[in-house]
Amino acid sequence: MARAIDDRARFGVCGAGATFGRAARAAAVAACALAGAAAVGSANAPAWRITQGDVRIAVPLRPGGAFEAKTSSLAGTLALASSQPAVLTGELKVELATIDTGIDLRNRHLRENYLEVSKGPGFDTAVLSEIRLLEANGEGFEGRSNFAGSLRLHGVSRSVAGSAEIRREAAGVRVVATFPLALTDFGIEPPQYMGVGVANKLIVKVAFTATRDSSR
Amino acid sequence: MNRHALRTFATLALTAAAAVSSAEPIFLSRQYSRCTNCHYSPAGGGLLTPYGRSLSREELSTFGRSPGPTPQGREHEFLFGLLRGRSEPLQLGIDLRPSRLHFDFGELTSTRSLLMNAELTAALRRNGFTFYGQLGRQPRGDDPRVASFEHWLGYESERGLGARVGRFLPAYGVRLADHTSLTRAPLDLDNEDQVYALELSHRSDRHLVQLSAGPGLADALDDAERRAFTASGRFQLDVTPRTVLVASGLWRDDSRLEPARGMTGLALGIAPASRLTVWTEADVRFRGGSPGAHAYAFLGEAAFEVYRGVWLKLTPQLLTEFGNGSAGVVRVAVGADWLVRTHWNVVLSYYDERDRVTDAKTRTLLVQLHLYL
Repeated sequence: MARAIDDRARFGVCGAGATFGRAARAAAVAACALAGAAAVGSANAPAWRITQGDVRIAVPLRPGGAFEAKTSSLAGTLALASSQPAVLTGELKVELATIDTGIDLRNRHLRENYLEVSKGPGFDTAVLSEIRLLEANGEGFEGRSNFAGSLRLHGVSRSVAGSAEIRREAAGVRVVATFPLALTDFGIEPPQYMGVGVANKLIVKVAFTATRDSSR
Repeated sequence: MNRHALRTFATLALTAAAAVSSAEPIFLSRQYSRCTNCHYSPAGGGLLTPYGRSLSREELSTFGRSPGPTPQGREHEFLFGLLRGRSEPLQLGIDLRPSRLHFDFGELTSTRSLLMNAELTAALRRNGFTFYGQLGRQPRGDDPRVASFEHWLGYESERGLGARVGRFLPAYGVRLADHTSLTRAPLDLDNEDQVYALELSHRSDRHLVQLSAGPGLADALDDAERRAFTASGRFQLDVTPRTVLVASGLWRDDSRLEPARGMTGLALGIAPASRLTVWTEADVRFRGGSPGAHAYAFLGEAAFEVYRGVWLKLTPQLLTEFGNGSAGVVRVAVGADWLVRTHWNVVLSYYDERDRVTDAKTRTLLVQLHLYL
C-alpha cells in the first residue's frame, strides 16, 4: 500500500496534460483492473499510461442548439491501488488551452474570459484524480461501471460522477467515460455573449487507450 | 421557350428578384444548427442578431477578424457603427443586392442589371418578446412594389415554448441561401411568399418543433380566388452538433383557382469537417383531385470553404411533374460565395437546367454584391 501511495504522489507530479476526467481516471482504473492489474494494494500494481485520448464536451447553446468542444491533450498515468471498489491512484490531465470549440473567437473567449488559463497553475489544466470505479472488481473487469472522482478545474476541486465503459484491446485497454459538469460548481459563470449563451450543465466524454507503463 | 425555361427566367430575373435575406445552412460546419443564433427569425434569414453580426465579422469574413478576445470597434454594427449604439435596443439593418443576370435559352439570351434586394429591417427584443418589421422593394419589371413583406410579433419562454404571429415565411425543410431551389419554389416559398399565420414552437437542446397555421399567402389574403388555408410543420433533431435531421410538411387547402396541395419530406445536414457542409432534402409533392399522382423534389448541396470566407457550392436538384416521374427538370447549380468583409459578400451562381422531356437547356449566370449594412 505504501508503494501505491508513493506511486500516486509520483504520478501526480509527472502527469502531463490536463485531466478532464474522473471518467478518464475511472477508465484508467478499469484498465488496470482489466489488464490484470495487481491484486488490491499490491506493491507490484502495474501503472497504465494514457497513450491516446481525447475529451469532447457537449455544450448546449441558448437560444438553441449545441456545439462540441474537444481536445486530444489528455495525458496521465493511473495505477490500481485497491479493488472492491477499484480505486485508482494517479491522475488524468487536460491542458485547457488546447480546447477547440471550432471557432476562433469562441476559443479566445473560453480561454481568456471564462477558464482564465492565463492565471496559471490550477487554471491552465483540468485534473481528474481519486478515481473510484464503483462496480469494478479488480483484475479482469470489463464492461460498464459507475465511477466517482475529484475534478480540479478553474482553481476549484469538486467531486464528479459518471459512467465508464471499459474493454480490452490489442493495444491495451480502451475506456470511454461520460459525466456531467456544472460550470457554476467550479466558479465559472456560464458564458453569455451578445444574446447567445451557454447552458450551465455540460456533458464531458473522455475516451482513451491506456497501455502498461513500462517505465515503472 | 418551354415552361421550365420560362419559370427559370421568371424566377431568377423577374419575380424572384426580391429575395429575402438569405439564411446560411452551410454554417452547420461551424456547429450552428439553429437559425436563431444569428437571425431573429426562427425560420432563418433576415436581420442578423448582434451575435450574428459579430460572427459574420470575426469568424466568417476573410478580412474582418479583429485581434484580441473581443471585437474591436463597431465595424460589425449597423452602418459600420455610425449610430454608435444609440439605436439600442432597437436593431436595424439594410439589405441591398445589386445584381447582374445573364440568361441563355438557346437563341434567346438576356442580360440585365437589377437591384435584387432593397430593404430596411428593424427588430426589438425584450423579455422574451421580439418585434420584427421589414420594409422592402420588390422589383417587378418596370413596376417595383414597396411594402412590408415581413412583420411579426414573437415570444419565447425560458423553457423554450414560443409563439409567433404575423407575416413570415413558414418553416419548411432546409432554408438554403438560394431561394429558387427546387425544394422551395414549388411551395410558393421563394418570392416574398410569406403567409399570415400563427406559429407555435418548442425547442430544447436537441430538438426544435415549429407548427403554423393561417389564412395563407399574405398577398392573396384579399383575393377570394387564391386565398387558401395553409398549415406547416417542421421537426428538427440535432443528432449531433454537426448532424441535423429535419422532417417537414406543408399543406394548402384548395382555393377557387387551385386544388389542395402540399409537400412533405426529409432533410439531412452533415458537417463532417469544419469547412464542409452537406445537405440533402427529398420531398414528395401531392395535390387534391389527383390521387396517387405524386411528384418529387430532390436537392443536394455540398459547400466547402476553400479559404477563410470563400465557399464553393455544388447543388444538384431534381423536380418531377405530377403523375410523371420521368418528366420535370434537372438543375445543377454551382456557385462561389466570398464573404469578403463585414457587411459585404460577393455571390457568383451558375445554373444549368435541363427539361427531362424536351432536353431543352437553360443556363443562367448571376452575380450579386450582397450588402448587409
